Amino acid sequence: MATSTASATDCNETCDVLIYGTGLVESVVAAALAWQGTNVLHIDSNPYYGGAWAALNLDELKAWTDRVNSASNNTPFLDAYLYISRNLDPRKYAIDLSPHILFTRSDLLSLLIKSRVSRYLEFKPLGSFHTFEQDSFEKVPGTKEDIFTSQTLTLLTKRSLMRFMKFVIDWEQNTTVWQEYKDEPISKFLEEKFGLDVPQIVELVHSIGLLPTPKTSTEVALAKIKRYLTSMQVYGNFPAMYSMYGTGGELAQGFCRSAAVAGAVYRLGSKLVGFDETTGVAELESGEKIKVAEKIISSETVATQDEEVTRMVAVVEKDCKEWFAEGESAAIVVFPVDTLDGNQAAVQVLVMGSGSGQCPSGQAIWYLSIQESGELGRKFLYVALEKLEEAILRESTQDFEFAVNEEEIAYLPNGLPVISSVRLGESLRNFTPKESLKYLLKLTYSQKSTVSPIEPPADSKLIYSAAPCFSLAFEDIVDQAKGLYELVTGTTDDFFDVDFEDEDDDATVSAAAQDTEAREFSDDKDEDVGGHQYDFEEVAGEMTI
Amino acid sequence: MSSRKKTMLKVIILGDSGVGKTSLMQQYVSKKFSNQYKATIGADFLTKQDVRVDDRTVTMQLWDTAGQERFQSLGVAFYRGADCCVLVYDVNNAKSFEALDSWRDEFLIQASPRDPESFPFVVLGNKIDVEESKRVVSQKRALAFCQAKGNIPYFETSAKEAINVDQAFEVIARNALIQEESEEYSSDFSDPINIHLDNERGGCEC
Repeated sequence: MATSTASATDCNETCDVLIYGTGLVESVVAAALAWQGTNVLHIDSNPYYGGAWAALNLDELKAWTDRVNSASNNTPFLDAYLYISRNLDPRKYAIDLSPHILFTRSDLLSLLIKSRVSRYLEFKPLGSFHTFEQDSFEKVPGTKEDIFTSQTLTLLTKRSLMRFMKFVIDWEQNTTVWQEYKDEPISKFLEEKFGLDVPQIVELVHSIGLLPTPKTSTEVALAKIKRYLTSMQVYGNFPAMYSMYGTGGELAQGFCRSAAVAGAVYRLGSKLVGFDETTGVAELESGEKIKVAEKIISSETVATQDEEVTRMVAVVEKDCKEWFAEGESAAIVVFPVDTLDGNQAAVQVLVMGSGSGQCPSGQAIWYLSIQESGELGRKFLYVALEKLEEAILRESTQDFEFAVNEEEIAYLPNGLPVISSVRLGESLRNFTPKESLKYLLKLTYSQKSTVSPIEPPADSKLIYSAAPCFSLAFEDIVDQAKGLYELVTGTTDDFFDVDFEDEDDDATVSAAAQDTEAREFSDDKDEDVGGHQYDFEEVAGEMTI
Repeated sequence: MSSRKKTMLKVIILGDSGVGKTSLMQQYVSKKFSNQYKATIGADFLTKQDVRVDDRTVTMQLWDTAGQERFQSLGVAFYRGADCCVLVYDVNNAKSFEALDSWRDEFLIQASPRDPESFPFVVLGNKIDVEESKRVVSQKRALAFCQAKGNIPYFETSAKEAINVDQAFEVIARNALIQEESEEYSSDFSDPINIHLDNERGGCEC
């Protein structure tokens, strides 16, 4: 324990920094501080790790629902409605309260590797990004090969898309192209500057950029679109991945273990009930007093009124493998704006199969979310749920065959046949499933963005961390953690500046990954397509015939 | 044999603080390895490669509690995927022996193995090098406990003097391997991504 000069008369314990809450950001800070040599006491009022980021079993989920709906709710969540069918084994499920995916080129992944926290985790690939169009799910062409080999895109569209992809990889440098559109909607920019059509704009904005609306400013949107493209082919034919058994909560536990290895002390199920700013003494519900020498970082914030995301979780009795890529166990489905009776924000769906470790085999979990509040948000989620249900029943029914007539086949300018998607949509609309889908669990709830309950003075010992972000991908985690770290230590120079001795090659890997960023897509060399070169050439041959 | 996938066994070591969990791991792993684990950083997990179990060669990953057991704050991720659970107590400390049952329960709840009845545990009574007069838990009492819990293998060890450590871990490895193989057939999981772009720390594959 640290030597404390203050009179810690009736204190049970002392520490330099007390961190309250084991959410992802707090856990990253805990590990960073512990490795830097700070004496950290990390506590959580829950009996599990992860706070608002946790993945819960069904018993924990029931308790969580009660807490969220109680008067003493201190979470960023509210209005939870839970249905669980009988006879489910509670421990076979991990319901993610704020599911997030990890792009393969991101500062968070680099940190996971550098800190060696990645060794505690198992990552699975996520390469299936679908856009809901005309009652069917279109697989998003996310690479140059996809575009090149696509049978539904015209040559003109292909050329425009290629031109855009080449631009967006270096968009930060090519300011002349987008400067005048900086604060204009991305849809306007894509249409006017690259002549892209609505379907391509929708896919770029919603599925590749994972943005809620095409009104997003060009500057913000370009960074998000680039994120997807530079993440392709880093580990394989997928841009993103996720940790098994839960997303942010598992990462948080990994960082907490790392902190513990570096000497941080952990106490779950410990509620903080008071803190005296002048004496620096914190009090736990158990009555224990802790002398805090430097700072308290607290995740206990209050919800704001303005921003809200509405979420739905559905566990279905279908494996949903029809939506997954070969060897994968997860997919993303996006319902763009105006596809669900007037939704002004996209509904994003993360589908997790049993290979994610979140549910038993033969089942899948659908995580739906929309940045729209309360009743209206829930309405759109239910419409999306219905569409998902229709789609999975249709696609998983084996005796259903497409009766394709000659007139439903269109021919592209290059002579390749393609089934008209409009016709396909019509025939699918007329399809009535023979079976119905069984829901084993349904949960809806809202999540607010948070603010500090009080604005602490600059020299305050008490600082606050933020609740999970609304975005489907992890965003700003490392930056937020660095911000808190700086408030404690005064610098970020030594943030995870740890020499892991003989295994420091890990650090070299992540540094190299950062370096090569942006280069991958910018030049048209053959290495670009990596292992897919063969496919590429083969199809190229076909096209010239 | 070379065509066979490399087998990695995860073993977790539970027990009250101070019973010698880390010492046991280090005695077992570093004894046969010249390139010892550098203990400059805290206890995380230790890897012992090329462990022979009958005609098989396996790698054992021994997970330490990293101090998170002190306030029962290990978290579910720690327990995940364990192939064997080692329960350690100090023969000179009655409380550490009495805690074995709750550590076992905690493991079964958190790890929720497919078949709790057959999941392999091994109990180690450590610190037998301490003078006999200080001993408070008799071998008879320990054996009775192990028998009552489904014939758990029991060893009396000294991490300090390397008594029975290798013998105990031989049984741990064998039982972990049996468990791992029984899980393998029932699992529909595809292999996770190796997120290290480079060859991982130059392990000799020859």
